[in-house]
Amino acid sequence: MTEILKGVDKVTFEVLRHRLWQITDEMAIMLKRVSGSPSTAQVHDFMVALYTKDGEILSGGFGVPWHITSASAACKHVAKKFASSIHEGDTFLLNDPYLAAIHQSDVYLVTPIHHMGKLVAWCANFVHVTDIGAIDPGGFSPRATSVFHEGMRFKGVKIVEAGELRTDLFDSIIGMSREPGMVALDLRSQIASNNVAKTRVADLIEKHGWKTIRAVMKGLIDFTEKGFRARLSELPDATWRTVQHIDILGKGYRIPLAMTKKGTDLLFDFEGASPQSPRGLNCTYWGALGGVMGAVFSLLCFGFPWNEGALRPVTVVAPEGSIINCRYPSPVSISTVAGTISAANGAITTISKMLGSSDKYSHEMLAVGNGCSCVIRQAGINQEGAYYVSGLWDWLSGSSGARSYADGVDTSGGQAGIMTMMQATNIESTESTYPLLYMFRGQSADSGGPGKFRGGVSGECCFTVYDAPEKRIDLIISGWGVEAAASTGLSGGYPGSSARFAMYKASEVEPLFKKAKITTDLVGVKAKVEELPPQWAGELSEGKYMYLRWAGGGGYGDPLERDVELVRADVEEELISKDAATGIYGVVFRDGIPSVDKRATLAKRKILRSRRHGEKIL
Amino acid sequence: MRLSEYVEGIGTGKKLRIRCRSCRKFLSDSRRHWKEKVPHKEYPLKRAGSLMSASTKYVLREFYCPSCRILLDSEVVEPGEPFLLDELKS
Repeated sequence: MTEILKGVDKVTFEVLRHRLWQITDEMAIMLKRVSGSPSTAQVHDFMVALYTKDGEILSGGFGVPWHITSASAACKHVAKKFASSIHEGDTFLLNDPYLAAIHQSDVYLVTPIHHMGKLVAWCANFVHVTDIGAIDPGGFSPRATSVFHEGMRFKGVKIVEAGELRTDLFDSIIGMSREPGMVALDLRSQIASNNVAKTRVADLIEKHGWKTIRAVMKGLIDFTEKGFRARLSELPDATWRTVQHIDILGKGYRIPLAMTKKGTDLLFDFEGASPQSPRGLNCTYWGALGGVMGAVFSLLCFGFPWNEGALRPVTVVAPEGSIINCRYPSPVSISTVAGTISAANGAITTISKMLGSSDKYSHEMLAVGNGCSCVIRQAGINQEGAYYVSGLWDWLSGSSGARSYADGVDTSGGQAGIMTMMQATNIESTESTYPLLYMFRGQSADSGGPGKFRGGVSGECCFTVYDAPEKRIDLIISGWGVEAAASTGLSGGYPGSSARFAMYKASEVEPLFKKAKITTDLVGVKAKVEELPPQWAGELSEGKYMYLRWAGGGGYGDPLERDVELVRADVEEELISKDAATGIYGVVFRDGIPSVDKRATLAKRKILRSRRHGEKIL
Repeated sequence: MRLSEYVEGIGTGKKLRIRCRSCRKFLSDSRRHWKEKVPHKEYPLKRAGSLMSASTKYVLREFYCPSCRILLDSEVVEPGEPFLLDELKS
């Protein structure tokens, strides 16, 4: 058998690399099955991974990939801080965004893996806990002006010591949360997840011997680096640029990105990013790095194990004091859905432009989808008369950006490329758990960015309080993308729709219910409508209806190049309106759909093209 | 050499010329970026669809082939913001 590494044949190498990945898969299953929190069990807001004894990424697993690099930093920090007091059976907790994490709500648990009494690896995971004791319930804090307002922050503590849970610390942590039960479930699921990894890696060492496993660990990282660099060498040297705009409370923040590929190295430079915000939209360097690497893993490292080898060719430059690398103690609680996601959007776009300059790889391009987050947190007294805090994850029904050969996936879940496995909760589950009633949730016609290939359509929803003892609950909104368009297109493709938050005050909806009638779109309902800013804290009370529309996916290519039949099908399936079909795509219908007037369509497209003269700059 | 769906480069270095992949019209040479040579126009974001923001703080900027009028590229930017110029190094 051919040796691929010293003492390791090719088959063994393949078996073991897949086995390591499978261990992370089992870690994810453990998180989902042990934790009962909707965020972990249903939404999948978590990440699992294995690391070398030095904290280098060994096997990035299921979950939000921008945490793979942050958990690596967490392992390295713990290894250094606790150097002589890391023992078998210990587990450490860390959530400081100025050390490794992205915001405090994302709590990392890192566990050393020993063999024959020696540290040989780490396993780590994070979950987004239900409440971290911040100024606003739920952890995303629009009112915070400092990291000190954003909840408990740990620089690394031993939560499990020699296999025993430190109940003094555990009780103190959950006692600082508004949702101690949910946080306890999450932390216990994290411990269980790491315990599984620890046991499985130990079994693997037992079966194959430490020498073989050590060789495979090193070989895997080299394998990814070699493969990734070879892929980069097939692409041209160039600089590709894009810009993201975060619009909040009348102020705009600019996040430009220039990605330069030279030889087999990639430089992501955020030079020119706006100064840091007084609000928690900022991310620390770890958020910028994670956002970029999430896109690198997904778009450039397909076919390779996601590990340190993917990081070695990459440099991320983020100006200190900017929204993309803020100074301590700036607030960062909204970073995952603002600064970090913008970094990811920028990386997705520049990487896709690079892929688009290659005949071989252009089919791997992906426009930004669901580009701005529309986070809503809720708190109040539930149907059982108990105080609760939770999220509303409808926006994670998502939309993906278009590809160079196909439309984006409609309501695809999460965000293609960086949060693909995240998903919205089931409405029935939400209604049975919380004092809410949904009027509707569905796809939103015309939300997909127009193009030769259309961005995936996003969705909209509307809900009110129901069976709430206080006839009201608190809502906290932490979004953006209302003024700007976050889901940018590629090669001329238009951006996906903006987000929208609105409060409808309507007295006539409830009587409709009593007559067993429902409104599925609020059209025609007499209401006072208050457009809400994307950072907002207020109440939802009886007679009021919260409306949300999240961003559609960006399009690809010239909309006037779109196949007429695809436009017709979109109209028929109510994915685009007839107005958009004619006004944007230049497709004219005969009386009644689905009949396309081909001659009129040719003429219409000719007219639309003739208007494309602009200003010629000589 | 393909640069994007609608733009390609012919030659290298100082002999590089950029042309439209749709109609083969030459757009620029190595002395000037092609975006600075072709017609462009800034529109309200609403051009991208009825669900797009009505804000005037941002615009949809479009670049066209002067010959076949295909939409070569688009950008979401602040009005008058410098073009997003990708630069080929090899």
